Amino acid sequence: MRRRFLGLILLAALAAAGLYAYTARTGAIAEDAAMPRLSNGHPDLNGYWYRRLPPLTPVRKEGESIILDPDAPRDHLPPSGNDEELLPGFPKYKSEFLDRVKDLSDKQVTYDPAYTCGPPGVPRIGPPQRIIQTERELAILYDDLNGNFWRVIPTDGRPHRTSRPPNVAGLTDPLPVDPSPHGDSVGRWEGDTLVIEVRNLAEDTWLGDGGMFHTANTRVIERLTRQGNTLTWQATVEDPEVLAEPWKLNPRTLTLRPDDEIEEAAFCEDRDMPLKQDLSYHRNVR
Amino acid sequence: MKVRNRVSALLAVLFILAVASAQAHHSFNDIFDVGTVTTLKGTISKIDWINPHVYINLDVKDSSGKVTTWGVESPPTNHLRSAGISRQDLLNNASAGEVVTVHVNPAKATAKADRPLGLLMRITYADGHFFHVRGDPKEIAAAK
Repeated sequence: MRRRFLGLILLAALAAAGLYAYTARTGAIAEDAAMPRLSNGHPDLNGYWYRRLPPLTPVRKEGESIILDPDAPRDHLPPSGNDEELLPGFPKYKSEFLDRVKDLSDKQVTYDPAYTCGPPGVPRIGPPQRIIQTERELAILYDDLNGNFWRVIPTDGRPHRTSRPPNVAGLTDPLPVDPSPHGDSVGRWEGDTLVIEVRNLAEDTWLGDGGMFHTANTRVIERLTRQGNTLTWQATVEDPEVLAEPWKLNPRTLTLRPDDEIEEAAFCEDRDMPLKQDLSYHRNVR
Repeated sequence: MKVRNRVSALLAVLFILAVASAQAHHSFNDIFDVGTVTTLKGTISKIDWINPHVYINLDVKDSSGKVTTWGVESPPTNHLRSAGISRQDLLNNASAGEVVTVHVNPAKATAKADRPLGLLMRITYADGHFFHVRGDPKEIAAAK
């Protein structure tokens, strides 16, 4: 009798271990049966993902008139919440770099490349806006204040690029992959979370407002997790040369808008630059 | 004691950074006289639908008939769009020569702009409907 009981326990344990191994392998989450998936079983992240944006001045309508009124209710568009939570936070720089951060911050109008319509870079460009996904790769499109930007992210095991094939007749040696504002991204699945590692970031972008410089060795890890029709974006910046610890940005939660589409960004031309003035619309939220 | 001093110094630096950052977000008054409201009446000759600021080009005629084109700096395209204001909404009946009333904070003389420049507060159309983007409505009501 006792032996049979022990046998049953052993059988149950084996079944549980098997189920765990299967879940870990397939990344399936049993309680979220409604998760749309691609045919390879990974979550379907395709779509236009709405993110709440500044200036966050609520809008009130009076007949045909439109009034941006700071006192109007703020929850006119989901997800509502504290505006400050949209800000990414501030990295902890090593003490020897605090003077440089302050100096850059004081002279942001002059030194911030995003101020003169430059590409914002990762992670400053913010959460994904439009995702186009296949089983091999994923493209993120951005309609940014500074223009249209995009990233192509392999998810099928391709490594980070270290060279490119030559593209001019007569050349045979591979070409280098230059650092770029949005870097070189590779994605991998951890269960149902897509983890994107970004390398080869050009060091002339900033991580955000207020003098957030970084080095050429910066590494950014983004995590994208879909739950129902929301997508959570979490980015972490590692730059041990200048940061005292990895900087984990405040996460952003986006909402799927099946009936909406990304718009083409307007041309960016900063006429303020000669006037050296306004930073208010360059607030560090994208 | 030393540790406490270091912590205090760090806190002071962080405080300075926080203040600098907060000020940086509100520096309209570096160029615009935010204490003054100027009322312009004119016709819209062109909308520059660009970022980071949309510009309304407003032709303002003085008593002698001389036309001056004001540049009216407005919020960026996505801010206007998300508020429900399109480029066409801004133009309204401009092609028919509609006269609009525009309240702005004028640029300071120190701004050295190459033309008269104002920061949009409110634009009011011939039929009375308006778009109010910033400032206290009482200041606009009190403006001449």
